[in-house]
Amino acid sequence: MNDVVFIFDPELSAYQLADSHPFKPIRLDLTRSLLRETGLLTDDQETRPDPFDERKLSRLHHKAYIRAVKATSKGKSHPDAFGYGLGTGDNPIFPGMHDISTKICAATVTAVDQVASGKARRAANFAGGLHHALSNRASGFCIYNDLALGIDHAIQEYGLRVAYLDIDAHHGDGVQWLFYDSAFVMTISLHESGRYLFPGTGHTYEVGKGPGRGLSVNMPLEPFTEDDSFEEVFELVVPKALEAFRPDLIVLQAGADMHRYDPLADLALSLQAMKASYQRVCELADHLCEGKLVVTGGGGYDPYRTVPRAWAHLWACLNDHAVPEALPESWRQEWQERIPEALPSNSLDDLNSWQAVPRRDEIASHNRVVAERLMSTLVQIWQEDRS
Amino acid sequence: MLVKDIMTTNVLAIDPHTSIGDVSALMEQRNIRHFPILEAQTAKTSTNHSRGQRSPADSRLVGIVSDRDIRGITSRRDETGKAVALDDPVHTIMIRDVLTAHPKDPIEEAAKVLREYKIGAMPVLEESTLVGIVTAIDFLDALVRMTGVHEVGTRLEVELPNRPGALAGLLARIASHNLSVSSTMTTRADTEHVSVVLRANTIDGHGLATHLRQDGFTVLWPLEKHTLP
Repeated sequence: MNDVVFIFDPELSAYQLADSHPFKPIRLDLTRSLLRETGLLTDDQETRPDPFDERKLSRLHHKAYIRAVKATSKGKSHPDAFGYGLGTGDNPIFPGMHDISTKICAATVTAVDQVASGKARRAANFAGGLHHALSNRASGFCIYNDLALGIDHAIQEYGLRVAYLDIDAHHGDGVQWLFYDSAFVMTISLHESGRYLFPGTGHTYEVGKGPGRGLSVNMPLEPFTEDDSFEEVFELVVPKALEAFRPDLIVLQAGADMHRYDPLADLALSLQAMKASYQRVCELADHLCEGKLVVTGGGGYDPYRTVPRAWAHLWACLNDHAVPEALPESWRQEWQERIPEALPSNSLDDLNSWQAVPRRDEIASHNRVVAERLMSTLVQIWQEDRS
Repeated sequence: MLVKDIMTTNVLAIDPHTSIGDVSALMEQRNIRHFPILEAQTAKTSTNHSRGQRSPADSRLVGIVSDRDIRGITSRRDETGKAVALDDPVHTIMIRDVLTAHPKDPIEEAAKVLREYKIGAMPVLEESTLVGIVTAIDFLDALVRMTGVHEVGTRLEVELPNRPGALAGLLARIASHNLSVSSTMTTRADTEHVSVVLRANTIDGHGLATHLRQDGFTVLWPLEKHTLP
């Protein structure tokens, strides 16, 4: 048994939506390479995705949508493609789209299965995390919702209660809506406010409905939120929500686009804060559900400098190790020629070279008020349910 | 968008002889703030509906009553603290000269009437039959729908010169990136400019805004993405 498994398949890097598309799968190769060069990832930890019965896709996606994805993947035209979000600027149609998207689902389901079955304590699939995919629509670079399929697998096959935690800069809308009325899943999303950023949802008042009421937790953040404020609201919201729900398994979507360098979003976190949040999630999993934790990738559009380092920290946390401060020269040498910008030499950011964000206190105070109001609403709902 | 597209068709109307107390209770039970009041047109039509509720067929609209009218009455107390006039029929307090809308009125026209007369709702009549009611909340819902805020996407605000083809040019540029737009709303900012709020179906709002700025458009939202030092 491997305590921590890394789901790997070279095909997973084929999720290249278009040339010069901001979603760059090369970040997966950079991450894996960095982990191997630092010795944090060993051969025996790498696990291939299990065979996946693609009929399972239709547990969450509409069959007509799946048919449209399949047809367009083979280069056939489909009259409703655009209505399904396919062939748009965000989600261009590319050859093999169905197969590779299904493979990503297989990988996340495998990661969940490894942990849920007890074969591993923690598992990572950095190719996964396509949280915007909706039941009948491709959205925000996501075709099939691997996360939701993984969560569904844990519920159906193992009867687990799953907490889904999403720290991508964008709201985890697809996963939230797929489980909005489920009593078995709590979704928690911390994201840049929908007022400023896609997809536009993730308001505090989206709290779930029916049996899922009180189990959708949304913490919208102000643009330019920095480390201290992020850590403060994380502590105000996440531990209390998880403790109220008492999950059997935590699934973390660890999009790396809340970093200051990300070109698509406007949050201003450093790798230091991201690393701290990963550590905190590991602690919470240890404390609440015997360490059972599955992590995926997600967004992250600064693919050379930021994403590999962020996910290396996450992987190191899963293994109770740390990424060395100085990154191996061998890693930079291997990749530098193919990369349009200089690869970093340190595993963390040089915070002294960063200027403070103007309005820092105002932003922090706004986030704090939102978090406090959110929690007072939720605590009330949780108490109603208990009485 | 016409009044028929946003109105409530399942209207609860009441008989003018219903007591004020019963109307008040109905408002609370059903969470309704406005009742059209219908009178039977022929003597034969029975009024034996429970608590004075009435069906619109064969009836004539004679008034409307709002929660505000009712509250004015039910809050009146006698010296022992008992509410007065609860047993009086509602026709004693109803508004008789009712402003009504037609199902094919454009919503902006109906909304303007609501604002001008400072009222909260209008019964919708076709010929003289009550077919619906439209309230301020329906207009608010329509506005929310028109903004496209329910659609996945990114909000964009652009200031255009007030001249023919400016909006078409903007939309053509967005289309050239193979992006669709789920909503556009335009308002005249001043005599020279029109401001457009639209919802584009893209995750990369900054990317789109940058392209538009390079094309010479004045993009007010999202704000320019400053690379933090």
